[in-house]
Amino acid sequence: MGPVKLNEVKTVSYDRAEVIKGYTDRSLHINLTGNDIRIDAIDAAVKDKFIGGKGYDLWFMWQAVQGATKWNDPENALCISAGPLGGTPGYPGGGKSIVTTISPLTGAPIDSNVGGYFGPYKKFSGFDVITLTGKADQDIVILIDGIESRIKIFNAADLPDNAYDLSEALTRYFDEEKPVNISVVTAGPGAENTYFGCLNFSWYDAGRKRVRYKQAGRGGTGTVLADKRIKAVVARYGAVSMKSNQPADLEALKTVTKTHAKEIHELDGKQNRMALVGTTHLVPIMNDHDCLPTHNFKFGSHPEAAVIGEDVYEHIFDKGFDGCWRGCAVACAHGVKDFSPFTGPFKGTRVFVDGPEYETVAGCGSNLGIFDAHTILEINFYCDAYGLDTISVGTSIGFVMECFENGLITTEHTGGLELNFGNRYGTLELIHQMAKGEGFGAIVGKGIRQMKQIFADKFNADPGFMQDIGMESKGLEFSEYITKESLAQQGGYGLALKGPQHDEAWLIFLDMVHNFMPTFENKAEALHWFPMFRTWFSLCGLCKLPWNDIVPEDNKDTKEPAKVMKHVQWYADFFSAVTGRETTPDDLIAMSEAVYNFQRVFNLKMGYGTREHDTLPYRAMGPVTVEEYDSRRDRYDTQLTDTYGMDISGMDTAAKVAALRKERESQYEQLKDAVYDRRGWTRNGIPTKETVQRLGIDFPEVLEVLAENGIQ
Amino acid sequence: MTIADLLKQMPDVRFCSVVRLNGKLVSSPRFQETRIPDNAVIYLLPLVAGG
Repeated sequence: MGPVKLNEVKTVSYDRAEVIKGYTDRSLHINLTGNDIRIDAIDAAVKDKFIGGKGYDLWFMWQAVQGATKWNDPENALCISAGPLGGTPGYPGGGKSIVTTISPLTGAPIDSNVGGYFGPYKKFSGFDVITLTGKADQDIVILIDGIESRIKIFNAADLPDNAYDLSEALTRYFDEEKPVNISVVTAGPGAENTYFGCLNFSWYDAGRKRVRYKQAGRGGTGTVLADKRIKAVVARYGAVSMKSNQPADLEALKTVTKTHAKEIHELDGKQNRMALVGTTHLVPIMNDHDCLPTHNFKFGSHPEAAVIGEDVYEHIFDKGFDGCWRGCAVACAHGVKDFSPFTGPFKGTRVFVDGPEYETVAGCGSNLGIFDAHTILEINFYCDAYGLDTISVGTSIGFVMECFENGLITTEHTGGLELNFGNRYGTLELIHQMAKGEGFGAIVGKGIRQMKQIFADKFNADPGFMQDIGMESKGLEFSEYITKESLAQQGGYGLALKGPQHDEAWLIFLDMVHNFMPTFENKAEALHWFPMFRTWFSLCGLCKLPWNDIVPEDNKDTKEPAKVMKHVQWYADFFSAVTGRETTPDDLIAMSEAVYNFQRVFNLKMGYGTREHDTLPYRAMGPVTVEEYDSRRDRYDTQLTDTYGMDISGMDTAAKVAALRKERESQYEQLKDAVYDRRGWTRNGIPTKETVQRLGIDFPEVLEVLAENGIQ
Repeated sequence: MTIADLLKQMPDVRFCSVVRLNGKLVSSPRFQETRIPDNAVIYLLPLVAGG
């Protein structure tokens, strides 16, 4: 890696706005077509309604794009915000950034919640939110320097292509003496050449003296950054303390921070042990409950799953503090040092791998039939360095492997790769091809929705079968949970605004294991409350893990244990302490509901956001194939006879598959009706005029979009 | 005694689908078959939240 060479092309000095009660009340807009830099005040009404984080991102995106805007149009905006509570050191999960843009995969707004120090540093540098629009005519780097109160744009040539080296190089370049002052947002070559490029958000790990990163994975945010020819966005800021947000009530903030952190320190070791194993504890749990995606979501468990779970990674992870924000008590961002890849450009070198998390293990391990912790680490490393979303990579390759094993595609199409489940080298080769935009990897990098079209049009593959097994909805690949036996989680995925990502609702255990929500109305209520509360974390710049992944020991004795209301109250206290706005738990839901419905209308503006787009591939609901049915024959036979009252004595398996499908697809449609009713939407899935009025988002432009869709 | 036997003796464990038995995770499908050794340390995981 040679010395970094950057040529400054524009510098703007600014008066750094003070952060007061969590807000700077300033937005930064950089239009790369002409390198225009503008700083605006944020209107009090916007602050009141959109809160911050994802709310701000969506509001400013709405102003930037038209209904016809495509992801690669210059006016598409990439927005990053931290939220009013973001940047609170010591509060568990208190330093997240939220990214939104028009997704290359879905054509609609995508949002991604990510760790690393960028969001807080950007805010303390004077900006609640930044929007990046336009396109540069050559590769550039943007610096937001909160220490010197300057914004700089550099032309960048000969920088490292991969995010791993680039993050390190720019961190050292911009503050050699105090690298902890730097956070870098990068993508990578994979982001340039696929539709599911991710963003890497860095922080400097002072203990290990190296740059680390977490990923804004979903929906192609990195692809948009690369399309704008932004190699990196860098934030520079100095010391951060609990006073940095100038909270309204510092003592109250200290109290709630200490209380929550203390509980996590006391209980994590007895519960999920995330400070030791991250989220890899979920691998054996999901496997035991038949929810671990295996062979493209065909099965939910595998005898070899134990070798890719917490028992293995606990011993591989490097010991030390692993918070992706300062002082986080959960500290789940583990990594592996001195890892030596056996393929690709880093072959034979020693690298540090950030991860893997559960999603990567499941998506790039069991789902591909790869039960080898080392290979999963290598996939994880290259996906990050190339700027690829491990979830979309794993789910897409799983689809390819099932197509290959069923003869829908052959080595003639794959460039000679034998893409059977379990092929480790074939998987890594595909990932290297994706990064270069070459070979069959270039097709896989377009995502499942486009692959289905290409395979049907060019390879004469069966479109009906691919529709059933292609694990995407709204164009986004599924995250890594089997939902066949949880109707509520089918709704959690199918009705999620951005596509099937579990951060809106994760109801599998409450529904499937505990039978906590037996009726459609129960499920609809859960599919209202949980998405709303989970949305709130992204309004405020927080991580949701401290809410319900470590729970109080007396939680089971409370009225609504699934909601962990003790913690919800702490979050209300947290919000009150920072912003000075007296807040109850119900207020948190109301904040989210306004933004949530605005995002649904935003989908509508972009040509989506109706019932037809809330569909699922049948594999998310039930067994597609005879093999799949037979793997759980007793369960399905019992359902047909006991639940649906059928006489199955004369039915062959194919007939049973069809009968079960009819029932399950009908159930999902009934669930949609119940959820739409609960959310105040029409049966076509559109917020009613009364709903947007009740939530105070009945702006003229919102009413105009509703009117265009028949809502008067 | 199995994990299932133990849970039967305890009040209000409806959210317990996973336990840690001497540090190892055991999920509800295996409660019936998993015996608890002498002097074991067992934690009930309150609920699995996922994601």
